[in-house]
Amino acid sequence: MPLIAPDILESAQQPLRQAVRRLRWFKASFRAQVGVIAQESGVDFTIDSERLVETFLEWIRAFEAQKPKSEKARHDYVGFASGLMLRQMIKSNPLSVQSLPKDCDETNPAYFWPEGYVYVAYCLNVRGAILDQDFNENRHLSPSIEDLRTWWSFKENVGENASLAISFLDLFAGETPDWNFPSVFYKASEPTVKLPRYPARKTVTTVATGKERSVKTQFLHLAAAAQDQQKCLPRETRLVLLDLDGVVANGETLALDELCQIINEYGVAISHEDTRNRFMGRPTAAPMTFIAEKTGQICPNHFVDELEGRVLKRFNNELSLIPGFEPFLDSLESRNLEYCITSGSPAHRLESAMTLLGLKQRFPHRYFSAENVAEGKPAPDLFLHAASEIGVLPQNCVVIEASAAGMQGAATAKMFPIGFVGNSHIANVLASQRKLLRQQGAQFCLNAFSEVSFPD
Amino acid sequence: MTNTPILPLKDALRGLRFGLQSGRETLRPLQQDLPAPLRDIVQKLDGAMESVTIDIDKATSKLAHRILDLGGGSRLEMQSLPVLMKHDTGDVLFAQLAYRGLTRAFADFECDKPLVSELLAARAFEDAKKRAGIDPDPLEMATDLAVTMRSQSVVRFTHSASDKSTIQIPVALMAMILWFLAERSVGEDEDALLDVCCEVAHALSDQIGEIDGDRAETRVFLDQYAGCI
Repeated sequence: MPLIAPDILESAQQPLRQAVRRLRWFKASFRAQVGVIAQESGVDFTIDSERLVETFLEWIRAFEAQKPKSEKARHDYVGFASGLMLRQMIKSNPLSVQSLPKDCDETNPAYFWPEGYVYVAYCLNVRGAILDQDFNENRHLSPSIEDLRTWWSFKENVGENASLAISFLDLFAGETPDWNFPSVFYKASEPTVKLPRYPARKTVTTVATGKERSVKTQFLHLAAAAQDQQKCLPRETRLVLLDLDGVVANGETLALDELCQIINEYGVAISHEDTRNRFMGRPTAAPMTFIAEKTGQICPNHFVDELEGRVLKRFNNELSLIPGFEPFLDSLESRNLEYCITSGSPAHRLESAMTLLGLKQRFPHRYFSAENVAEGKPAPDLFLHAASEIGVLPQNCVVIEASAAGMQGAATAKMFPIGFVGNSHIANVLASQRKLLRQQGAQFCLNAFSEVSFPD
Repeated sequence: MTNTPILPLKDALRGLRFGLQSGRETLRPLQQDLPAPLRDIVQKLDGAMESVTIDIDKATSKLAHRILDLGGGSRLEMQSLPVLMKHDTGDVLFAQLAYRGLTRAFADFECDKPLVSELLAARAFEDAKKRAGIDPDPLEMATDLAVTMRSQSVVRFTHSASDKSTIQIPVALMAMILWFLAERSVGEDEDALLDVCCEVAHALSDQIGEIDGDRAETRVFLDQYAGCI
């Protein structure tokens, strides 16, 4: 069934990119979209007006939060913003199906998931109309828009992580999706770390090795190292938020080990480094979608339970604190600084880890799971929630994170982000991990807790 | 402020009608509980009050049309805030439109009927305009109006009104201010536009409650949402 666009997309009295940001037009155009699909498919829909308004307002907030200043990024932002819209529609779900036509073909996406079909149609149609109007671009939808298997994966994955709707919309639109950080529009943003200027590229030959290396590379390495020299907490610090896996304990290493193994067992060859780069700090839906993409096979329902079981078994046997962590807590306490744990892990895994590590007494009611909030990392929700619960303003918070997703969330929350690369498992990829964390906003990176200094 | 007796007169007549209506609301439950002779007296009183209420409505309407002739016929045309700020009788126009906006907002929210003082609304407008200076910024003026109209109790309810109605006062005021700030095209359906403003304010009622009349936060709110109506 083709994605029929309603006439209102042709007849807006103002540029579509402005019209879509007016609730009046949004409501009218969405109703029109529902109308044309209902007529074509025979599905009877009901629209919940309150949820529709909620969809719009939440989308506007998300739109404004990451709207780029650069004109060059506007084109990319059209696609991203339409993905944000799809995400919010799925979360708020303003449509409900009253009835389906008799004997309808449920292998047709329009009948497999009628509400999702309308949401996708609307977002793709608006996206295409704006790209056409502003950039004279004609859209070419991917064949996956008609593939039931893709729709199944879409519905399952967004049920666990609505942000993946952004990736799936890119997929349907024939674009390359970002499965790692779908809800972060960083592609066109300026780098957060400004390195000093260096002279034109030239090469030097070292005496010892006889190998040539670029001076530019040398300067970049030195500049990054120099910036890491001053590893002092800001004077305004009142609360330190610590990620669990990879900062407090070696849980991330153990979890990534198991994830790497299980992905290979499911027929996708992947290295430890690639597993870490793609999935560190990410929800379980991300590797499931990755496997489905690579193999053409949908992950079975027991994938999550299987992975969780294996990770918990490793935790029971091998989970331990990162060296230097407890003395660091002592330093914080001696300076009357608060601290807490903000973990992307499910609540039951966090609870289990806190018990195994013997930390519950030291963190009474001071550990927070992503399950406590609407969106996990890289969204800022978890950090803001923890700070609010403890009663400290974001500008007085420091976040120590080992993952790019956590770093991004901390920067978005307008807290002071510090990267941590002291997890022994990633020692062999230290430079690339440090670079990745800086790109996502880390003010500096710690190799060990002992490197932290405090203001006088 | 524009020199016209109509606003205090309208406020007084509406206040009287409101009091009578409240009185009738107080009396009605009694009709069931009182013994026969007293019940008959109360019923007659209720009927008499209804007649007086209807007469007051008619009087208010006649006065409004006869004394205050600002054009637009029986349905006053909506003017946005930037236009009213430059109008000679902007305060009175604003007061009438605010009355219209607020009564519709409370109806949209399924609340009790409010008592809206046009006199206080007009004063709030005039004071805000003076504070705004020679080249007033509509957003700043809107912020001032939202805060002042709330603190001056431009909207009131009777004692018998539900808590829900009283709680909705800040929400209705924000809805009305959004209506004044919204961009509109030629021939815009103002009632439909006002309904959209009410939907937005209603959806954000928790946030409005947290703002609690704070000027800076009111401005941020209006700046964020006026452009998306």
